[in-house]
Amino acid sequence: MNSLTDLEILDLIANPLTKEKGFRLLIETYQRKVYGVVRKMVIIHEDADDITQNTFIKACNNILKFQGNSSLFTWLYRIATNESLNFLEKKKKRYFFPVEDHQEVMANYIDTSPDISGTEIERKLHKAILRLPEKQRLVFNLKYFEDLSYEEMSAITETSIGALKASYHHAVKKLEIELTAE
Amino acid sequence: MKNIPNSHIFKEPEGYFDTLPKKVIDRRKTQIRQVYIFRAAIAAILLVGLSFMFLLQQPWVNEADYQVYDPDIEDEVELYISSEIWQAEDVLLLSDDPNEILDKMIEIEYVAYMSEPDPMDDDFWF
Repeated sequence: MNSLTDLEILDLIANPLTKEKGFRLLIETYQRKVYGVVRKMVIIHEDADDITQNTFIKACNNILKFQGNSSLFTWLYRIATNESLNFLEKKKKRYFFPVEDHQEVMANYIDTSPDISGTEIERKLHKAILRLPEKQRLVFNLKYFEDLSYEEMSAITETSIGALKASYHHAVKKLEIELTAE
Repeated sequence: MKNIPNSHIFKEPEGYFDTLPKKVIDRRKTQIRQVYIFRAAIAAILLVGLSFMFLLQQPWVNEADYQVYDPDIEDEVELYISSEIWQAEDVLLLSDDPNEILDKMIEIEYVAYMSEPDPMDDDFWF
C-alpha cells in the first residue's frame, strides 16, 4: 500500500462515524478504473454496471480483511476481474449452445450499440479480443488498455510474471492473425 | 496492432459516475437489511421448531394426576382448623378465589335457613 488516498480511505472506514464517507470516497476514487476494466470484459453496460456495483459491495463488506500488502487499486482490480470472469462463466452455462451465443451478443453490441465510439479498426480489435479465451482476454486488456506493469498484473491475477508474458504474447499473435485475415 | 490506438471506446450513460456511489451504498444497505431479516426469520423458525419438538418430547401430564384425592391432606387441614392454628381467614386465603367459597357458603347457609321452619311462627299464632 503506498497511496496517501488509500490510507485516508482506510482511516475513514475504520472509524464507525466516518465509515460511510470512507466507502463513498473509495468508490469515487476507483469507480472509473473498475468500471473500465469490467466493461472491457463484459462489453454490455448493464452487465458492467451490475458487476461494478457487486465489486464495490464486496470490497466494502470485506475491507476489514484487507491486509494492506497491496494497494487498494490492486485489491479492487482482483475482485473486479474475478467477478467478471465468474459472470462470463455463468453466461456460458446459461445457454444450451453456450460460448458462441454470448460472444455473439457481445459482438453485436459492439456493432450496434450507441454506447460504443471509436473507429472501425478499434471495433474490429474489440470483436477479435472477444474470441480469445477469457483469461487471455483479461491479460491482454490489463496490459494493452490499462497499461499495467507485469508486476501489477501478477498481483491482480495471482499468476507468475512469466506466464503473463507468455499469455500476452500469444494473445497479440492471435489478434494480429485475426485482424490481418479480415 | 501497433497502429491501433488503445483508447477506450466504451461510453457510459451521462452522469453514471455521479450516481454510482449512492447506488452502491444504498444497495449494500438493502442487502445488509435483507440478511438481518433473513437471519431473524431463520432464528424465529428454529425457535418455534425447537419449542415444538421440546413440547412433543414432554411426557404429557394427565390432568387427573393433579386431582388425586389425598385423604391425609384433608385430615391435616381438619387438624389445623380444629386445633385453631388456622382461622377461617387462613383457610380462605389458601384458595385462589376466596369470594367464590364465601358465596357458596352463604348460598348453602341461606338455603338451609330458608328451608327450616321458623319456631317463631307457632308462637305468633298462639
